[in-house]
Amino acid sequence: MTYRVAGFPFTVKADETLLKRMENLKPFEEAAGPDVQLFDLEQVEAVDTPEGEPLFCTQDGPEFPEIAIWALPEGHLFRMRPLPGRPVAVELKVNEDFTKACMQLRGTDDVFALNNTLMLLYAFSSARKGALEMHSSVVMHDGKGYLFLGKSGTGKSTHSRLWLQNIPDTELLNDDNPVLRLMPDGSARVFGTPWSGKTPCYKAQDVPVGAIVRIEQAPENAIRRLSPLEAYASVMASASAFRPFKELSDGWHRTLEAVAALVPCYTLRCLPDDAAAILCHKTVHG
Amino acid sequence: MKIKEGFTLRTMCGEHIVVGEGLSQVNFNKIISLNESAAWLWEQVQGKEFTEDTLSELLQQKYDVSASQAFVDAIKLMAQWKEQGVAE
Repeated sequence: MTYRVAGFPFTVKADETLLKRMENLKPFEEAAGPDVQLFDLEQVEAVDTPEGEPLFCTQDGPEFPEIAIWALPEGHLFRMRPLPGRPVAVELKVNEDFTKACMQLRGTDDVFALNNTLMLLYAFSSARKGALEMHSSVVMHDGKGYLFLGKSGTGKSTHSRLWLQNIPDTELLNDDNPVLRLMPDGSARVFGTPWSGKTPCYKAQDVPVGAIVRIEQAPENAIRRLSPLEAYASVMASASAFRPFKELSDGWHRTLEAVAALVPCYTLRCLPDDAAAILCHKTVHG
Repeated sequence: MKIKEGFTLRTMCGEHIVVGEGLSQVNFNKIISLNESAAWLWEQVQGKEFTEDTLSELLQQKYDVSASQAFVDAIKLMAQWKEQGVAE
């Protein structure tokens, strides 16, 4: 099956009953075409077990998936657990430039495993093409997209909801993992994706980026425009990390720099109240 | 002292910054801003062992600065890099 996310097509060859259950991917399905694929992913019976200690293992905390990475002569192997200490959900073998991958699903939640595999592959393989997989909640208003950034639990989704309730003509585009792209014409656009956290919001739509706003909890509402360097740091902190892979990072930093120069970025220190959304809208919509 | 593995000096938005890259610095989430002379020193000593004297001599070669001022600046910069976790 072929899917197109943020303009880039990719192909998944996997168990048909599993693909039928992937409701989130359906809006992104398309007929196989002649375009060069971002990547091809194939489900296989077995992936060779890696030898020795991994190069690296994520340590994001007890509530986050754990990914261990091994270097192979011809690429990398990723082993993902839904949470640290839990059984392995998927093993993924990827070639050097992240364009070909095979996965062995080993756990009980194949939908979870396939989605996480796709998000990981997408982030890596699109890095050199001016795309950033963001950790963000995004609303569309008056033809533009407004991205809200922040650490887990700071209130990105809450702030989106406050826009929906208080600002007319507002719609949710994605609640957790949109893709931000620098387009060939030099503009920045934000795209809905099949990955939206706990909110089922899978929209194959895109709009120009209006602004990027970092949310911080505070006892009162205040918004401030960021300098280009602050904007760069803010966007970097919320873009999916490629930092284990030095070979991808030059293009990634150039994309971040261009986005920081192009898009107005702000920090909103706020309460989870209506006034925060009204202040934010008034400032960034301009 | 030595600059740790996994840091890259980049010019971004017209400023010199250091970011953590590579597996060894995957959890380094800060970016560090360097002024013109600190960025130049970084390039000179990256990958090498250095002391206060190394930096002080480099500063005197490149800039019109007294030996004592260069030494003070070198000590300050090394303390700063150590505190920021980019050198050890």
